[in-house]
Amino acid sequence: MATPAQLGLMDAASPVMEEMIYFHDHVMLVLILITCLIFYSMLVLISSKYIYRFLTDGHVIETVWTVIPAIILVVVALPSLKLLYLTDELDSPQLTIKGVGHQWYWSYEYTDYYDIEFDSYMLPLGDLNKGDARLLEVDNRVVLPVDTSVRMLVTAADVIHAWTVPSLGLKMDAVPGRLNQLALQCSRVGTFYGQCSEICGANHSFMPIVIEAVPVETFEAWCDAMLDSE
Amino acid sequence: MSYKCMTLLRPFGILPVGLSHVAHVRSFEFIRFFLAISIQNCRFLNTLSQKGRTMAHQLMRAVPRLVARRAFSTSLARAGGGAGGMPAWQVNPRNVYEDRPDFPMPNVPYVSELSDAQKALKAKEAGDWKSLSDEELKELYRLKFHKTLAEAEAPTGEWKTVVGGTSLIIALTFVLYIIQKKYAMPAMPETCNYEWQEAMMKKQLQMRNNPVEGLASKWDYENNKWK
Repeated sequence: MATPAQLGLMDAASPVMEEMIYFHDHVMLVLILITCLIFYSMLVLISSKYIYRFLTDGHVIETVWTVIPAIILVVVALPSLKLLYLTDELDSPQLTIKGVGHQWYWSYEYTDYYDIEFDSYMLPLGDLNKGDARLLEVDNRVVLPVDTSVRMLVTAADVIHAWTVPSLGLKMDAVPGRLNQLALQCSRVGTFYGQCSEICGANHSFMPIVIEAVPVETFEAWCDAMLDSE
Repeated sequence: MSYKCMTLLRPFGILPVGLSHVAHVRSFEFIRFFLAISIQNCRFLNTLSQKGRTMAHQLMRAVPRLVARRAFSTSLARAGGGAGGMPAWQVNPRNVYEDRPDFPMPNVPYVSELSDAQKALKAKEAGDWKSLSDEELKELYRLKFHKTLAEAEAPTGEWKTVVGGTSLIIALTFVLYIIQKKYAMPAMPETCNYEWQEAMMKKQLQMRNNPVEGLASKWDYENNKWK
């Protein structure tokens, strides 16, 4: 999760998010260069005492400042498109999980091997333990094996929601009557938080998502525990 | 075509007759000639409109002037204004006095209606300039110009008013916010107090939150202290 006064992106927990961070750095560099150039030009022009009274046109400079931004856009667009198609790639997923958005909680179904279904409600303030994150903790987390390619199918039962986990670079609209597919792969063990990202009513801000990436053995033990409890 | 028709078409820069006298002119100068006529027409009609007369009356008065000045000879058209027969471009064609550092010579003097003393001074100016005292020279300058170049370019200090006013308003918003916080807003949840924040940070370190460049990367796990 983000730390207080954090401005930048969170550390990546998936390969796709790593690529997004690199792309963000690349575009930020281009933007800073352009901004510095503009600020410098503004400073020079404002502080200059000279006025050219007979300026009527500038065909050469207009051509230059049309062609150069076009080149800059190509430099930005090429990695952008590559990343866009990378996010759609799904490499032989070993697990499929369905996430269904309701007003105002998420429910998850692991139906590949067994029938594991549970709801995930936000923990209210009174139920938090000391040190828990307010508005982010849930009663039942999404437990996933680490370094495993997972297919996440996202849908909704009533209105449009959006399933988001920023650390993994994931965001997908949960649309009723439609299944949207996400490629999910956690590179490291940890807990990753997200919040609903599509306005869905009064408690839209109070239906978070928590993913717990664990070693495979721990995941298997969790599955057994879930089946036993059901 | 009659002269009256010519004057009616003058505002549009069209001179339908008399083309024979420009037949020897090259086509480029031909176009510039028509442009010169149009610009002179606009200025001329503007002057007429300032006198507040009807259009028909103006045209009746204009006919003899037009015939005399422009209708027959290109050489007369070329005589007015800037290079190649075109009048010099003016930023302020309406003959209003303006102090502009980039156009330091306005079309009209600052004081146009002179008192008797000023008229006498102007008459003295027509003579030998060495006879004018420093005070008289300054007076003559001030008749012609409102401000010197240095005065026109001098900073006004307006920025102080703007910065001061903006700072005052921002300070007022701070006061309003403090009043709202003290009397109107509800209490912050217990998760915002120091002990809870400390416990939260311990938990984040335990679960290796942001271990690459973020929080957990700054903690030395072997020695249990910050790096």
